[in-house]
Amino acid sequence: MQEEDIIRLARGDSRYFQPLFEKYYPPVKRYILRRVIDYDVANDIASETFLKALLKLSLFQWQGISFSSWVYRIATNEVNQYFRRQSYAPRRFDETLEFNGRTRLPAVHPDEEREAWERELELHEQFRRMQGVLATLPVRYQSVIALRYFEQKSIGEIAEILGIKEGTVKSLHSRGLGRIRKALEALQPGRP
Amino acid sequence: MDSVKDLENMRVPEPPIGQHEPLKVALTGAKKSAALGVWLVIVPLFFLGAVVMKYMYHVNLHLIDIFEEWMAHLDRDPTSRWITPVFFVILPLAGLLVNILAIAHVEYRRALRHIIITVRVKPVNILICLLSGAVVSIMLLHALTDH
Repeated sequence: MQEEDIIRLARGDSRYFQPLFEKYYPPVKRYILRRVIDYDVANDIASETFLKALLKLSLFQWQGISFSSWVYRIATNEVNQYFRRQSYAPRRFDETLEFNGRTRLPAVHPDEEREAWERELELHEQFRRMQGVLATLPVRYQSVIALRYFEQKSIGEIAEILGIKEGTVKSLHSRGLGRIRKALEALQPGRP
Repeated sequence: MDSVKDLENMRVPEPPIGQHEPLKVALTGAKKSAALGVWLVIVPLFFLGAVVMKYMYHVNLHLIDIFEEWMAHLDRDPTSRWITPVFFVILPLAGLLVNILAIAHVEYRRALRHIIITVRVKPVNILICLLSGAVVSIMLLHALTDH
């Protein structure tokens, strides 16, 4: 059955949403985990994303945007809201790195997936460092850089997900990289 | 330092997403349930509020007298006696149920023999549940003591 048909059926009967959920939940949750790092927060955001996708399915139109991009768009908006709700202000980069990887967060309900994520995180020091720097940027840069380098999305796909022009994506990409470069230079030892 | 090269060559964590949490879908939307709940509980709530104003705080609004006379008239007439239980018990009960369904999810995990009840913290829906529950309780208590 084509995805378009499944979506049409799911609009009338939410049971048909399950195959879409099973297909897109793993990659979208991985994206959310890579953006927010915190396992419990990622769980909540992932749940909220798919709940919104289900409830707003009637609003989804096959007009220039794939279902995958639409779900990624919902997830990106939820993640951005999370960062904004934290009354996000630029932090010291080294504090960000401590939060993001060096200090092990206590697991309230340890389970296999959480432990697997924490093990994965420990093995990817460069990612932790880069994610820590990325988390200090405004969300509009975070979204573009994360989709480009964490999710390997093309400029066209990012434009589709974020609902902006490709030129804007390129501009945000370039400016975002500039900010990351400056932030990493500031982290160099010997710098104030 | 070449950030682009670092990012392009960077390995990203690939967490295994295995036994993921099932999608917990409430049976009704929270906002619509809250709106419906307000409509279902507003008449008895208004009445109870007016009764409290009159008998506890001695604020005698003519409106409450009209309301009391109307309800007494409905109770006297056998053909309309069903109206007050509907407005004061059935409808608030429906409001309570609708709002509970909007925020609660029940799941049975067979392997662990656990029933897991999840309640979303939606203050408006919770308030309507409490108000509806209070209205139903007061009305049933009043009916029991009267008879």
